[in-house]
Amino acid sequence: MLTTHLVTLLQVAGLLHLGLVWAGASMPRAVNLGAHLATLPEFIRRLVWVYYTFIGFCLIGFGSFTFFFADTLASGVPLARAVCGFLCGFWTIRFLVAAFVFDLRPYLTTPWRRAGYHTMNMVFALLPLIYAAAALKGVHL
Amino acid sequence: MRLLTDHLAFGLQFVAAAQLGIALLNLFVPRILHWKEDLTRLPLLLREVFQVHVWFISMTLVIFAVMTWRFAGEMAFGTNEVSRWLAAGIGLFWALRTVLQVTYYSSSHWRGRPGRTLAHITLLLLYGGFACCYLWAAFPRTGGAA
Repeated sequence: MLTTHLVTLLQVAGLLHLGLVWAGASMPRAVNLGAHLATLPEFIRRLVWVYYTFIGFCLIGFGSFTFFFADTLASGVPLARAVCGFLCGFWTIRFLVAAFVFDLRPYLTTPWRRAGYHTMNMVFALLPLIYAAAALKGVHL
Repeated sequence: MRLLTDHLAFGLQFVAAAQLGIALLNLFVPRILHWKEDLTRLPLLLREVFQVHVWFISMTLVIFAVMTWRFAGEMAFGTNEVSRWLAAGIGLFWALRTVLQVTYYSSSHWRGRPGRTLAHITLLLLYGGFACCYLWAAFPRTGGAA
């Protein structure tokens, strides 16, 4: 794969992270998270929000890093390959979780939600491929 | 300056090891703090989301730890822009976590309980130390390769 194509793909991957942040931000309303969490003790409730916020920050960080350093990440230097390798692992596991852990069917009540769900799964499948391509740049298999 | 940078590289490796410990500990927090019964009140999907968030926070910490351990030298010497931005990102992550430890969690969780107060102060120092270490590595310094 040409380096310029890989840079473009990585920039697309960076932007896709922002789409996932937007999808994640709409989750609490879709599943009525606040009402459900109200039944929990205060400490656990706050911890859930802290986890949720930090996952959001991580996605913003990973996305921005990928977008702004796409050319470096595509260069095949050890640090760049390590970053891409780990992000490949991260998104592979997220894809497996989407496929085998969550059952979202009760919440897919509108065409928009179904479209969003399938789009997200496609993004989860695409991100590991892009990062794998960058992590394996220059490796002859 | 070279001596300080060497210390920073060692400090980053210490931080990496500590982060691995926190990543591991994080996986067992619900069990250690006996949250199973409380969490059963949530619908299945939200319980699963909580569990997945726990896994992914731990996974993110493992990524931070391994990257830091492997590239501590590059981060400490600021030899390239990517390592500095990576350090800045992880530093911000821990700085925010330190601020939340003080401003978001209620002091009623630890006030008047010596064990919990000790844990609170230890975590505060640990998270703050992580943030300082990474942010120090993130900013260009005179005398280093950067």
